[in-house]
Order: sequence, then C-alpha cells, then structure tokens
Amino acid sequence: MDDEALMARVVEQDREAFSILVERHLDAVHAFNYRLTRNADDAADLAQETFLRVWRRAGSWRPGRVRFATWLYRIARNLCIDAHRRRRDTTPAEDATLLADGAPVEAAPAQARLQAALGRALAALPERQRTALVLCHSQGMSNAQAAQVLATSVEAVESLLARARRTLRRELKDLRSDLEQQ
Amino acid sequence: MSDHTRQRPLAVAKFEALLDRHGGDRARWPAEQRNAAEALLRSHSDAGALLRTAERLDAALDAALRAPGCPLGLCERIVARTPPRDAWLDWLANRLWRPVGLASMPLLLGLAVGAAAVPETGADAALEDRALVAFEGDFADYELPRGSASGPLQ
Repeated sequence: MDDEALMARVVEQDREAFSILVERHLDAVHAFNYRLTRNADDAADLAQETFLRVWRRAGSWRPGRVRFATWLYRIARNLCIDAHRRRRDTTPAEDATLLADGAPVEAAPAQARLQAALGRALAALPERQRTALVLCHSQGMSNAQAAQVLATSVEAVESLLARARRTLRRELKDLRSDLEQQ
Repeated sequence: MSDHTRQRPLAVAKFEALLDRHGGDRARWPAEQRNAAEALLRSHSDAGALLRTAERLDAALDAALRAPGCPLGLCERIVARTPPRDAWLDWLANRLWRPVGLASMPLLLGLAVGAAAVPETGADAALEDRALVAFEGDFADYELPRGSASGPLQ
C-alpha cells in the first residue's frame, strides 16, 4: 500500500496504517534531522515530534496536492528550524570545533581535521543551502523533489546547491592537500 | 568575471557549473547533459580534474553527513504516544480554515499596507546593503562567460 493510501486511513485514525508509515520513513526522517541539527538527542526528539504532528494534523493533508513524503519533510524541516532558533546559543559551528570523542580539532589527524572543517563549513551555510544539500546529497532526493520540500523552483534549488558546493570548496581551500590525498 | 573563469574554455566552465548543481555522481545528472559530459571528459583533461575534485567533495560530504542509526524502540514509542483525535475538532480544523483565512484577507492586506507606509530605518538600509554585498560577492567570483549557462557541452 502506498503512502497516500495509508494516509487516507490515518485521517480516519487508523493506528496500524500510521505505524506502517512511521516504520517506513522513520530512519530517513531521523537521519535528516540529525544532518540538520548535528545532535543525536535532538534528532530523535524531532523525529518523534514530526510523526506525532503527522498524526495530529492528518486532516490538513491534501491528497493529490502534495506527496506524503514532501509534506513529511516539510514538517521535519520546520521543526528543525524551530529547534535551531531555541538552541541558538550553542550553534553547531561551535560544536564542530570538537570531534565526536571530544578531542580538540588541532590534535586530530588530517582526515579528522578535514571532516571537522567540513562540519563547520556546513553548519555555517545558510539554512536553505544546507537543507538543499542534505536533501539531494544525503537523502537521495532529486532536485525536483527537493524543490517541492523547499516550496521553490527546481532552478532555485540548483542555485542553492551550486552556491553551497562553491562555498564548501572555498572554505576547504586551506585543506585542499588533505582532500587530494584521500 | 574572475580570471579563473575567463581563462577556461566555455564548455569546461559549463561542465563545472553542472558539477556544482548536480554533484560528481553523473548518474544523478539529466541524461542529455550526462552524455555531453562524457564526450567532454574524453577530450578535456581539465574536465577530468574538475570531476575528481567534485567526487572528492562528495566523498567528504558522505563522511561529514553520516548519521547514526535510529534509537531502538523509537517507532513503537511514537505509535504508543499518538493521542486520541477528536473527530469534531478535525472537522472544524479542516473545514473552517478556508473561510476563516478568506475572511482574514482584508485585515492582512491592511497590515501589509500599514507596514509598507512605515518610513525606512537605518537598520533596514544596513540589512539591505549587507544582502546586496552578499549577493554580489556570491556571484562575482563565479560569473560565467556570456552565453555559457545555456550553451551545449561540446
């Protein structure tokens, strides 16, 4: 049964259909949230809130107007934006100065420094550029699907992607030799 | 236009722009441009170097954007927390938002007109300047030769 048919049942408060939808999309939504927030606890909380909002607002979903997956990602993105506003004092850019194990970046091997630098550069991108990159590069969406999630044109998404990739290349210029050796 | 772009052949500059839009994985490219890119890669070593740089950036992004697995039991917890929905409230929310939205249009229009009539402040102008500088800075370094954005890859 496809997503749209399941959603038609969720509108009628069918918990079994809802359970199938959650199981089908949870991993992807959780990964999407993590990639935007860089925080595992936030990613899990936001994934939960995303699906609970799907349940509560099922009646406002309009079949035929927008695909379920598009609607789902729009909800997840909006929640990530709200969470980022609440946690503005501890930005991901600051977090990225430490590696996952808490070691300072300067003491890490070149490969880890490269990843940390890329993490900082990603965190510093404007939200729409970062989201477009995550949707297309990591979530496997086409540029057209990402455009629907961002409620914009395909051309605008391609512009966001191009600007993001140029910025990342520019930011990583000092570490280009490390990149060459990968 | 930067010297970096001006010195490069037109088709290679277009290829670089496509790499920026679609990434280094040509399986994600539109078929027509993919075929043209293959022809370009066979004839221009510059294009091959650009492709390798894009592929390395893709690999670095894969590593930087790697996500941990979903916590065990999260799916069950979510389903268990679904609250009962009130069918009457559902009906109210789904049927009334359109007329309420339409009825609010005159009020929103009035607010918009009122906001537009407020004199521009120094903060507004400074923000506009920053946006303009950001826009110019973003594109000036990457301006392509005239006509290159829509020309075929050859």
